[in-house]
Amino acid sequence: MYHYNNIILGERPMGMAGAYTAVADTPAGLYYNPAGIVYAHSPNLSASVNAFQLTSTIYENALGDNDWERQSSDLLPNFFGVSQPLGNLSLGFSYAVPDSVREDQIQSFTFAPGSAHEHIDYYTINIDHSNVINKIGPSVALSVNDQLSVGFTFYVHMRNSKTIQNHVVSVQHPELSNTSEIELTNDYQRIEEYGFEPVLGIMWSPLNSVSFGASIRQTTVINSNTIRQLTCQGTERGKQDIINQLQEYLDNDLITQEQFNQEIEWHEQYNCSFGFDGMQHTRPRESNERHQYPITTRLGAAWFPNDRLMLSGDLVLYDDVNSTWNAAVGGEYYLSPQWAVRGGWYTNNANSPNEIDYDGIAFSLVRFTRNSSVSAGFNFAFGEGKAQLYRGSEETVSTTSYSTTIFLGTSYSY
Amino acid sequence: MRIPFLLVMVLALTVLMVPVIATANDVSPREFRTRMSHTYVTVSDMVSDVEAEIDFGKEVAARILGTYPPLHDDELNRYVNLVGRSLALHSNRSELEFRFMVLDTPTLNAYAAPGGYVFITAGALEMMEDEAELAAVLAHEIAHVNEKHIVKELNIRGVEETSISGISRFLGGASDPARVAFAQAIDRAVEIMFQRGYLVEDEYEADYIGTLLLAQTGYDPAALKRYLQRVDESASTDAAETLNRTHPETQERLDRMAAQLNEYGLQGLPYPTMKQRFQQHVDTKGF
Repeated sequence: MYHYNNIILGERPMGMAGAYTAVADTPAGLYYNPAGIVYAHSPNLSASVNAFQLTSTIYENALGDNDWERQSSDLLPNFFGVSQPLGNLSLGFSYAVPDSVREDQIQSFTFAPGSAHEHIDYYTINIDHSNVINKIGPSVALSVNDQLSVGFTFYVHMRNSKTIQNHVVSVQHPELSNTSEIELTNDYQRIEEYGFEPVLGIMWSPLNSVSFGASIRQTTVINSNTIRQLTCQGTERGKQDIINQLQEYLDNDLITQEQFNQEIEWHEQYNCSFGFDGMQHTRPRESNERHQYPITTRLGAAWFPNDRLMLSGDLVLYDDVNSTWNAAVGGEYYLSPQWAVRGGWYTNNANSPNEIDYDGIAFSLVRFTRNSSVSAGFNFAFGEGKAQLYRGSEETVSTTSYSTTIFLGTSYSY
Repeated sequence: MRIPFLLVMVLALTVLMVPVIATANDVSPREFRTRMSHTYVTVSDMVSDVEAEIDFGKEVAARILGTYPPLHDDELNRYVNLVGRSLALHSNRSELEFRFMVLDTPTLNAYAAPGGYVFITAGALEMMEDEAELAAVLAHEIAHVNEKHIVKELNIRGVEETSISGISRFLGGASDPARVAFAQAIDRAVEIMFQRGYLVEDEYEADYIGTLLLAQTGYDPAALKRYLQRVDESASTDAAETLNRTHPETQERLDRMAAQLNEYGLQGLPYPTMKQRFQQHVDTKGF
């Protein structure tokens, strides 16, 4: 995972850019900081959010002069939670989707004469990729005294990921004019992962109008199953032909040595027929290697100066091999007892120097009635810089990415 | 990515600013966390609330009648209803239709279900000496309904049918949990009536308002005090024991009522007690 803050969960946090650790007094708090639920206003409350998210990442000049655009769009119910106070105790149950990617795209490239890829008639990439993480589980929170509460959420963790990539490359045969050969690659990968994620939270209000919150969590994978099947249709050119062709370009100064090396690396990574003649089938390969998730610490502070205004800030630290952090600040302002606006700024930093960092803003408008509230809003994140074209590559290309989320959320008390 | 120095400085400044924007904690976090929308929920009063209160009261009344059967004496029930409704005319709950019924039990008590369903036991009637005392007990129960003591404690509210709430339910807001909560609240209301009793402050408030209601209707405002005194003197009986278990200390109640009567100048005034009429309808029945 390159980014840990792709989706902001919960009706109220979504409008406040996720700055919710020191607020956490609605069912969404079960995810951010379960200790906050003891301060829930209503005896019983439920909430859900449905969001439409569109993400587009453009890798500039990824294939010759061609940009490569990857798009993900998904309509997902990303949070549902209920809470029930029982004296000093509060119980809750929540379902959360902290990450979801859904790519389904087709893209074809052509290459201009004289370019490094002029021997390719066309290159088509079809991708069907989904990666969804689901969390579901109970929570309990205890009011230790008026200023202090602690909470615990136990999530069952489920991750399902599936990727089908088809590459079709039409390559001109140098020896036989006006003829082309087709290289085919079909790559299927499925990951099923089960585990658990305990979340421990604390909420402290030592001063009037101010709350501090903290929570710590880590997902532990107890069972993981990865199946991958790679099927290729190579060309008669074979590895040596490709190298010969590239060498010819290099000798004629059509490409530089650096471009030559990049081309070899590209074929090694993307062209599974590179080095094989004829059809190459691989039997499905299985792996039970377990993904390591970081220890995530959320620290938050919130200020409630009056019943109209609330300001909140979060710092989230991810402690793993590639540590990173995220920050968020958000606010809520009541225009009247029936209307409120929420807004905030957040980061979605990469855990790798070879990926881009995002900055995002969020806004929502909320309408309250006696039993319920409905909010509608948007979230826009933008990132620009150098990024890897594919995982493990040393090469980075100029990349622009944006993510737009339109969401509709509600809470209902009874 | 390392945490930038600027961010660390902002966080440090935020922590340093805390003492400036806040003072020592003498306000509960629950209070300062209250948002404007919560206030709206508290003060607004809707037709659906009244409907919910009545529906809830019917369920609670059914549970009361499941515990103690009604006394099948139409004449007596009619009389109790006439007295009760004359009091209810002076209540501030004109949206409710108060109903009164005698329960066939020697237990000494009276019950008020939300929505205006008031019950008095045959045992309590037997302990009374005049109509003013009957009115006093009914006024005390009407006061519980007036002030929505159970409704507030159990947070009984109507389900709104606005377009916004409709969207909420469509998007996943719960409706089944609401029904479960409703059933649980009925259990708690019955527990309040038969076992735990009302909150002490609510009982004192019902005494206070009931006494004023008596005076407004034209009955002897000291009737409740007289009746309670008599009950207190017979506290050794099982029936009285039940009353004491679900109500505050009788002497404290009597002291508060005496102070109230003095404060309003109601002590010793010649208000009617309607003893003769009461005896015609009640005293001769011999339960």
